[in-house]
Amino acid sequence: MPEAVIIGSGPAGSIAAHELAAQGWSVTVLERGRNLRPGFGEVESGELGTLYANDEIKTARYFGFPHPSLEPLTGRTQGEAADGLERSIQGTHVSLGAAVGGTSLHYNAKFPRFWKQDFNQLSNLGPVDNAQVADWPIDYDELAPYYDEVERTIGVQGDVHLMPAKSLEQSPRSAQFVMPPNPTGYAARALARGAMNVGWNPFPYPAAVNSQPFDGRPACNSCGLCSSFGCPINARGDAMVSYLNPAVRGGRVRVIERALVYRIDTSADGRRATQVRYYDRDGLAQSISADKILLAASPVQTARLLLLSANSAHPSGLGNRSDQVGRNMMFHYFTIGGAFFPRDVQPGRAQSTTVQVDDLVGPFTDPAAQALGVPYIKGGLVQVGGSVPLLQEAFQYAGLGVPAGAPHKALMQLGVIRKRVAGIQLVGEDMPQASNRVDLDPGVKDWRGLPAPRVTWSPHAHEKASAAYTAPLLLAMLQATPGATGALVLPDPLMSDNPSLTAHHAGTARFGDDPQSSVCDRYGRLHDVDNVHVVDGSLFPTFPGFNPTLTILANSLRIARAIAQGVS
Amino acid sequence: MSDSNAPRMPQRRVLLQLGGGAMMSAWLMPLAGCQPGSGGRSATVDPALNGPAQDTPKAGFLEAAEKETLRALCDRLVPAGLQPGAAAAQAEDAIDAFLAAFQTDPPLIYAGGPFSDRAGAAQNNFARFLPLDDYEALAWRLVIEGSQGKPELEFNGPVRGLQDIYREGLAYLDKRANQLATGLLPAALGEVLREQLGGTPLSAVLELIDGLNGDEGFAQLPALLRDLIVLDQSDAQVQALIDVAFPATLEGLYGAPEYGGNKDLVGWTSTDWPGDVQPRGYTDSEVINHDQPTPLDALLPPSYGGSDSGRRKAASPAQNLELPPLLIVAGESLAANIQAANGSLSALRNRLQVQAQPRPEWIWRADHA
Repeated sequence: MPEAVIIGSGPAGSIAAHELAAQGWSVTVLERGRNLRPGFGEVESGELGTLYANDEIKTARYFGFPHPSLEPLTGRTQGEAADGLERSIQGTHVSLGAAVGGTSLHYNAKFPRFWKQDFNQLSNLGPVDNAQVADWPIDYDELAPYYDEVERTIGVQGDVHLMPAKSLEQSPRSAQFVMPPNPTGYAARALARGAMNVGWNPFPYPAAVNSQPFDGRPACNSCGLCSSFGCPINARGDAMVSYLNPAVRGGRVRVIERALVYRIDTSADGRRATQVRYYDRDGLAQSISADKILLAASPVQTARLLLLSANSAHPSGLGNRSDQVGRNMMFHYFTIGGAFFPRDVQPGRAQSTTVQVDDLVGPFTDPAAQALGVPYIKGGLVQVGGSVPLLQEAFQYAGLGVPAGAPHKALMQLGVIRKRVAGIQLVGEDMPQASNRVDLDPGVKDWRGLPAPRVTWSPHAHEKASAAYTAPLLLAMLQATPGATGALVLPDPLMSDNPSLTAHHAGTARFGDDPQSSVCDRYGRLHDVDNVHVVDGSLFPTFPGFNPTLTILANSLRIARAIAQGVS
Repeated sequence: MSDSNAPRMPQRRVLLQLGGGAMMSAWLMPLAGCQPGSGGRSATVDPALNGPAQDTPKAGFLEAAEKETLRALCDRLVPAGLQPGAAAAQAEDAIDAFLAAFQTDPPLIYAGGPFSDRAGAAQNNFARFLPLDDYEALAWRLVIEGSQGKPELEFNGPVRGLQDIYREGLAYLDKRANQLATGLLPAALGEVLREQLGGTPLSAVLELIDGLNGDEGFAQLPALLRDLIVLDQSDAQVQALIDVAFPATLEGLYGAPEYGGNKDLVGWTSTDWPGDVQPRGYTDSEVINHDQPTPLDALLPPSYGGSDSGRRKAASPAQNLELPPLLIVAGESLAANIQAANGSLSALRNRLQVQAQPRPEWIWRADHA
């Protein structure tokens, strides 16, 4: 029986484990976090318990995340790096979740597809100065069957009949969604009217959230605490319930929790990985070998592991002949916005963000865009109908400088942002840059003594232009929202050179056909190591402005199936 | 929205109304597969995740006098007024229980899940805290107790624990209280009185100080004098305490009561917050419609999904409030910003300060239009 070791149990790792096991492989998944779902591996996914709840303090205490004291992540801007600063940020920074099931345990489960135009952007639109725009080695049509399959398995709500023609032309579908949309919240309905009033086409946001019982799990009941919360009623499809738990129950997949991988060893010529080394939960060094090793640790940690695995055959990091490992780190930029109402518009009483707008995806090449000094502008989708729960509201006021005492308390009782703001969020495309990179921090370590990952990142001129181009359009939409008496937009790239703290990560091990300019081939295999495949978002050569999990899942499934079928 | 969705409503109802029956028991009972020795393929998966089936007790770290001082501080960070503040919520209990988290078993770090008994569940899982694994215990001991000179904990340098920060900070507050009686006033007293205390006259302060014996601790000071100490931005030692105590007070007031604060749910009732709403959740009609419909609602597009059984009746007259000249919003990155602050007010402000000064062209107000 062929064997695989998969590093990381998030969406990319879980779906690959599920697929390889289904094709007869024996799979070991190494996960640095722990399990938070009682019954994991023992009962059907519909019967899994959960340790999550509508509990804001747990989220503030990193439940399901790495702890910043033990596993810090550091950061700095390109400007700070040029000034010789080793880091300006240390802590959680852009850390993703760390638990069995990965960040999908507490994700927002938004499931748009990427667009056709995103897969050959360099060919379509040409190069951009100081950016490493590249075509993907695959196209939409190659990925489409896997999109279909993932949507059917995980259970995605939506309505093909309500999607705009442009969206369907760019992300054609073979079938209706698995289930109809959830009810649209009152605040989101108001914002949707605002979007319609400026000529946009809002539509139900595809989401891996049950609007009706599915796969033995119940329908969502719109409690509103989605992003950064685990679902207390098991109504959300994710890596755990849809892939990993069924795979473990199938008998050919085992998961080792609290396994911190620190090195992949290779043969002397470097062509073959021989074993994976990790610290177990007791801190003991262990090793495991397999026919195939799959990296699914997410872009920051996948790059870190490749760099930690440098040896005489791979002196600058495993598979790093191209010097591209760790480079092209991309984070979606956010422009958050809100329409302000004199009364409570019940923004929290709905599944988080049930409406999508695609009218700012782009590319825009009109004179206004050209005037901003870049050859074209790409924005992204607009999430319509966000909300803020109570404790986050309290922290937000404090963080904005509202003094302790009566002023803070007065705002809490008004519930200004919790009740009277209906939120939107543009998910903006981030250009790949060689200087936006993950490397090993020269001074900060994790609790096992390994160098922390360091992220050097600044927005490209494109992101600043994109934010400047889209901000007034978003503000106009908010102004056109019935009942709104005020509005505000906050374009991250124009306020700070630090990344938006988003869970949307990509890059660092891009795939492509040319070994000189990419790290992996079209099957995620390191060009220089025959039996190591990257299967997570690290592969993305570009990062269009859509929530990435569906594409991560579909691409990992595509690769895992190819591996099982003997791609060599 | 369309007729084709109509059959979904009964299914949703089944979940909600049978909540006390078969569905609930599956959620609330410890699952056989989680018990030690149950074997199976998941032998590497930690058993007994839910911990003992009994409410977790709370311990205390602070001495009685220290706790009085902390309570007097919380009282100024979120003062009482028309609505109760942090003292009524006993936020100091939540802070003290957190400082003593490792005196209980399981440690008082993460409340259990998935439900409390406040929204339809038969028993309160929140009250049973979760056992920590070695990683979590190490991390939270480091936060609470500090590295205490142990080399294996100082891989990135020494870490000062919250217990020390509170103990020293509270002692300093008492010292400042003593100093007030001797006439040692905040450097920026005039500014504090004018800008933060609504133009309180200096004479009011002096009169209170004249009445002091000199042996008062911080807790024995009248509210105005405590405010002078708390609001003194030039006093780094006071602000170092508030840096952690203000966020912790917010948790103690607005967080779930199982953590030790939010007594009688005053943090939620005073802010009209429903708290944890699972497993009851909301009906489709509650999601789609406003509780207090207005004619403007006729402009809105219908819901894309769900079964709308009609608008709810107005529960109370529509509010018409004067709003502060403040427009602020938040997106998905807010939770990450809070985590990145790691319990520190100054770190939180560093993260969010860029949002506090939006450019004029990013703002629209109807009254300016």
